[in-house]
Amino acid sequence: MSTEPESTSQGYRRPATQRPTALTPPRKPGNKKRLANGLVALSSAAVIAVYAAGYARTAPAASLVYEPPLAAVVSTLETTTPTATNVPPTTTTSAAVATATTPAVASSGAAAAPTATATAVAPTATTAAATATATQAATSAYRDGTYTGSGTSRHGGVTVAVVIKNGRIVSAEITASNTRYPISRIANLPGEVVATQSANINYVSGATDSSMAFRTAVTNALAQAH
Amino acid sequence: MAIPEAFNPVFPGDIRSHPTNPASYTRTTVLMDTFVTIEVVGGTERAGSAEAVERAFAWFRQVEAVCSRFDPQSEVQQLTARVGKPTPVSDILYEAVAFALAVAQASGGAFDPTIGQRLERRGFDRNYRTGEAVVTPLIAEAGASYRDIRLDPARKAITLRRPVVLDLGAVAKGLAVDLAAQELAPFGNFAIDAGGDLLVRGLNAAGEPWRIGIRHPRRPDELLATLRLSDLAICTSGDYERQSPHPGEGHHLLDPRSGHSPEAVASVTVIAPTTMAADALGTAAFVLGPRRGLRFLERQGVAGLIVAPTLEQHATPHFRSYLV
Repeated sequence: MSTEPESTSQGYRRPATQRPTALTPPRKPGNKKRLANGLVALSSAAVIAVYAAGYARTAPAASLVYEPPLAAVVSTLETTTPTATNVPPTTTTSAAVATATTPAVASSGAAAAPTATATAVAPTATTAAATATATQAATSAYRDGTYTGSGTSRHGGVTVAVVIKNGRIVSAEITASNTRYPISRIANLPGEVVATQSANINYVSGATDSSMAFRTAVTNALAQAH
Repeated sequence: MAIPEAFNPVFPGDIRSHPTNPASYTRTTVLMDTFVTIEVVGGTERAGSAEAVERAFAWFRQVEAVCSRFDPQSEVQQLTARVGKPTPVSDILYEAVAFALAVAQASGGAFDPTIGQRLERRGFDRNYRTGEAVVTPLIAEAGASYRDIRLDPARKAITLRRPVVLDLGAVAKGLAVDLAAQELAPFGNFAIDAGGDLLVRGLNAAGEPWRIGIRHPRRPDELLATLRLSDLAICTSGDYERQSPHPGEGHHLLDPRSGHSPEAVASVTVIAPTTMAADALGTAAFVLGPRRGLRFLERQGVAGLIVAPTLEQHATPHFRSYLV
């Protein structure tokens, strides 16, 4: 059974069919307050509409899926990670990349991470001028191949495999990770903390700071690529 | 790849998180300015899991190319060059904006995607791949809001009736996760973690509902609670995630009505059938505050937890049923 798509007052187009899928919420008994066209149902329909359209038709007319070398990603991840005090972001990526390639750490898997090498350069008021891209620093700096490096942070460690092709970093993927969090369960009374327990956790909801370990791991991998 | 021994010390009270389970096919890569992990339980033995995960990542790249405010070439940024003109757009951009507008309407403007330039001016302007700061060559009109965006469903077109910069951050990542999940659906048991925005299906490698921790908003090494989830998405927004590089200008969550970061909430966690809904509704609830935000979540039929800076918790009735 299908109905013609129609637009609501918000301009939202309902899908042609409303067959329940894995994405539509199951009806809970007694949940009469749920809106018929609630936002959950709208989001579900949106995902199905986009997925059904497939890759080619969802591509914008002038899109270019571009993946610059990962060295730039590493350096800017460092600057966007929240810290206890506000650290001004770097305005040039080449400076950060240069520091990433100079440490003389030779062995991968070392538990002791180099001290933070992110440089804090005073930001300019406007940054309309293009900053130097990392390609200039990365090109011809590395031998082709796949290199692994490891890094640790307060939460644990990661091992990263970095692939170099034509002298440039084409990918940096985590191949192993192990992070640990102590748990304190907050009771209903404000401020009261139940004794710590240990449990197995698969994932943590809420952004966690693991970029330092990642950056160290990539640095260690790159150190072998000269 | 064996985990180096240095990573395996056991501390009293510690919880092991993200263990690399040999029965799962797991990959982590950097996308949409965060770490994205996909774990397919039993995937190492199942044909096609590697290709499916690659297609799942491709959806992230696609959504990012369309929705990124930090890329002057993205489809959403190119809208700013066509103020006043109806612009046919891709399905991704149309659905993302349509949903954002629906959330804006339902939340009375507490959620509003037209805050892009205000975020830009607070310093949330950096492209994480290139390091370049984006400066949108448009002056957003003060007083412009979500009401100034028109949608034409027949032509799948968007019109910015007044100059605004769209920020789809609270919608795009959730949409990408949900699209990736569609790609992995045949595998039954999997998890997608996009920087703490999570979707889990089926059971984990131990054959149990997925065990999810919620990050403590004030103690980064600790968890606030643990949950058991299956076939659900969970998103947590916190005032601790990203600070403005400009001192005194708050964090990355902005109340569109006041122009300031909300101070009554430290973190919001929403559990919903889709990541897109969990992400956007949580962002709206963050701005609405503990009481109005909770009522908003209840009205939308999702479970949620709002934590005040005092660590006082406000939970919807169903939220506690997920706690371990």
